[in-house]
Amino acid sequence: MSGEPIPIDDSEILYRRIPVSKEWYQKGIVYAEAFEPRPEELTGLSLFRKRFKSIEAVSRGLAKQGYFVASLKVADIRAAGISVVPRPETSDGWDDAHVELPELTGNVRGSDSAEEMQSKLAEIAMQLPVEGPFVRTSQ
Amino acid sequence: MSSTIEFESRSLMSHQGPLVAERSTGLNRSIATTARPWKAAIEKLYSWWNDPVDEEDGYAPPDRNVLAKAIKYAELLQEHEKAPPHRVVQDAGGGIIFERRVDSDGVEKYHFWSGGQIEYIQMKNHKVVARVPMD
Repeated sequence: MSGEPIPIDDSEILYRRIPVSKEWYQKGIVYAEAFEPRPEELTGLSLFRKRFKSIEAVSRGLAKQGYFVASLKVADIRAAGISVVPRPETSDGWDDAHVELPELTGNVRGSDSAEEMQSKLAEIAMQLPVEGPFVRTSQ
Repeated sequence: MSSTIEFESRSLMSHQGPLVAERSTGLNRSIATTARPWKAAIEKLYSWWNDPVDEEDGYAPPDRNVLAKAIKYAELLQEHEKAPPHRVVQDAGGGIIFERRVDSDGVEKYHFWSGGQIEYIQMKNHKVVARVPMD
């Protein structure tokens, strides 16, 4: 499937995958590191749209101990002054579920603005239940 | 490298952020009582040293330079009876964070970045209110 990026509605829910081994979600608390971009994430932090991808599909990955998956309301993210944009063109092909937070990139890691956005996102992520852990069952 | 660490250690010990001076209030005393002890934090760092983990989901683990600095600082802070962090975790880019929750809205942390820099960062209500380079 390919075409035009589909606009993101305020009513949508986004998923953020959190590797269990990193301890960025513990005892009911989501920590800011769960929203820290990798140095090579230069176009924005990745999340996925519930509208287009199941939580089980989002949780599939290579992490040996699996993942937790946090849910965030788009309206809350935008209300915090953080942009969300559709980015369906990914290295694995077209994915309508893929979105990015373009202000939160590897280039701004460690800046005051990045620290503050990460902190706000962690709080937003605790408004809804965190699911998991989803553990990989096959290679 | 040792002279660098000695210099940084002096900077760290002379830093008077809240993480360093924790015994003045009842609230802080309470936090100190329940905080994860330094011993556990240091053991965790040594476990990463002794049993290096592979990259996980694209997140690089801390290398030995970062680990050596974090271990050195943790041992120095323990030696000087500073309040221990509540969490010791890896960041998303090969760094290490010592984090301490000050109150319901406040967090302070030492961030050992993968590039070798060390920063003390204090946050309140999602705002950075203090930022001190430690080297």
